[in-house]
Amino acid sequence: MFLLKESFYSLLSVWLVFNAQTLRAADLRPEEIVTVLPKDAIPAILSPSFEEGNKASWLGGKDLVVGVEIGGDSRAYPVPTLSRHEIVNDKVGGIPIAVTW
Amino acid sequence: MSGKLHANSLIMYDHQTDSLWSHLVGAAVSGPMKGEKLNPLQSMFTQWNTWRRLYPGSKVLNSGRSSFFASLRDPYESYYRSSDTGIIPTRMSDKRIYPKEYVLGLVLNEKTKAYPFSVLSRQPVANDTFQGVPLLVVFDSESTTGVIFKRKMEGKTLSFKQTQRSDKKGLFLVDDATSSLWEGLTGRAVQGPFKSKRLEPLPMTPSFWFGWVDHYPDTELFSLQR
Repeated sequence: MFLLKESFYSLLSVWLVFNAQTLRAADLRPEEIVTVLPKDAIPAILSPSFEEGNKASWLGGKDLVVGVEIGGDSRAYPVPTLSRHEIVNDKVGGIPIAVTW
Repeated sequence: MSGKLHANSLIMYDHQTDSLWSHLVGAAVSGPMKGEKLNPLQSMFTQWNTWRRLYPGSKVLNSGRSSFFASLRDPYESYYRSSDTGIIPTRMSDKRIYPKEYVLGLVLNEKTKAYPFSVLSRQPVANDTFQGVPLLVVFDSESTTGVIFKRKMEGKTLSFKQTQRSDKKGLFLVDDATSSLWEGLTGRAVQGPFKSKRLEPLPMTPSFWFGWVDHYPDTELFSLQR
């Protein structure tokens, strides 16, 4: 389990839940999906809570974050937390988003 | 999280239909939503200091742990530094750059282009054109932060170059048409005729090169312009 996690591949992007056309450029093959962990073994965050940036003293200046700003609402998602949850379901500036890592 | 991977990249499921989604591509791979796509949004992969300077009122996701445990390191830290390319053999191996190099991945008109961090660190401001769209790619080496904008304002295509500002922290640009001063990472004009205008940011995906090229085998690769 530890080895699996250590060599796990991560990456980030932020998606707005919205219908659009199929992306033809991507090479996606359902038959190549492999199961490496039980479902929800890595629990997504469904009800995120936030603190004021100037109170997050545990967060170091050089620590990596994913930052999102929509309509004046700005939020930072620290990467170590993203690694432990991989998906954060949130609403920013009234828009439902998923932050994925 | 579904517990599944596709070409070493996270597969998500949705609670409403149980369809499986690729998080790199943002599209459903199987299930009732197959073929549907999520709309990408602009985000910034950066350091906390840099984000806080750009957005002083920013909130921070609560780690759900006490502050001692919250400050523990990322469990994947050694993986980021290693040369391992995931746990599944890669389908597509493209050695033009180091497989674990970070790139900014851009999707435009169903075509893709990757901007390697190593190239951007040597050319922090790139006036590029892709799919006929004039683009501005900005990279702050200090915090290894890359962003992409459309370099159009009020119908005019602008070209940018970096400028040194001893009175301001961060990366600043001037445009060739009006010499307005722009904050590089946010695309906001802070002085000059375009003051308070904002360039349109483009959503992009920071990724390891091996993961990007394995999902987008036809991707273009940005190289030094000089």
